Amino acid sequence: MAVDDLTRTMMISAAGMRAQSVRMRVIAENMANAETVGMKPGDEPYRRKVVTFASELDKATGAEEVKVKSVSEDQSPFGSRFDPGHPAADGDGYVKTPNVNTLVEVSDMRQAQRTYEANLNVIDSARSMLMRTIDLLRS
Amino acid sequence: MRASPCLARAAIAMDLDRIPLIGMLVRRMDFLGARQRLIAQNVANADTPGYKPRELSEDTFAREVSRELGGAAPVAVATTAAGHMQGTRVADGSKARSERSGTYESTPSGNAVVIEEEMTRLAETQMDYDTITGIYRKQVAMIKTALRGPSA
Repeated sequence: MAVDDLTRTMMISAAGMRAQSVRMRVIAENMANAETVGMKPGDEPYRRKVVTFASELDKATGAEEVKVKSVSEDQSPFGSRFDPGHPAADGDGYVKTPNVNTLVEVSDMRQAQRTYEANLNVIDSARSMLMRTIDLLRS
Repeated sequence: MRASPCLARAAIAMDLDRIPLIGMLVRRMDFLGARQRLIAQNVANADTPGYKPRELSEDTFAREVSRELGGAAPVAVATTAAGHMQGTRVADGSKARSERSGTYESTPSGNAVVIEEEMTRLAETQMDYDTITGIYRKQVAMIKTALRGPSA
């Protein structure tokens, strides 16, 4: 398939936006579950998820696109909170809390947003270049 | 009616790409398109661990001119025996090769894409492209003026 550079540009940026939206989804999951703890003593709370990207050569277009490599779990330790009345509290009255740091998620979200916007800018620019080219026929 | 060879030759002569300036503009547009693609690649991989940004090396004006004036192709195949043939493929867009650019910043994950830099380059490329299409338009308008003749 012969694709010109500008169309390819748009495909690459679209792949980038797709990857960032997956990341955004995972961030939303983490944020929504920031307070999710177990139901009985010994239960594990919600474990934070992280997205990793990898670049991948698209054989059809010959462009190096980006894709989500994996959505894995954050191995950092859980926090704990003193709450003896909670059903999931252990013998000492502590409840394990998820290893989600809302601050980290927010900064991650900002980064995803910025990259998404950058990709959008590239598409915008490529589109304008294509339109200029088509306009050559009009004059 | 069958087109006569004479007409066919005229049609070839009318090929706009044969006008040196237009040929140059078209190649420049090709180059800018390829550059835009690499920028897209860099931006899309702005969060990929270990990814190093790439960019196209700019062809120098002098080389462009020498090619236009019928100078030797930048890379010619050596002919050492009578049976050897010279390559027919002229060096075109492939002259622009992709290479790593020297950036000043890389994240702990080994990613060296600086989005701001890419955005600057993007705007530059777009402006260049606009200039080129503007010149192309003017050139065609000039040819049209010449074709119209004095009576118009």
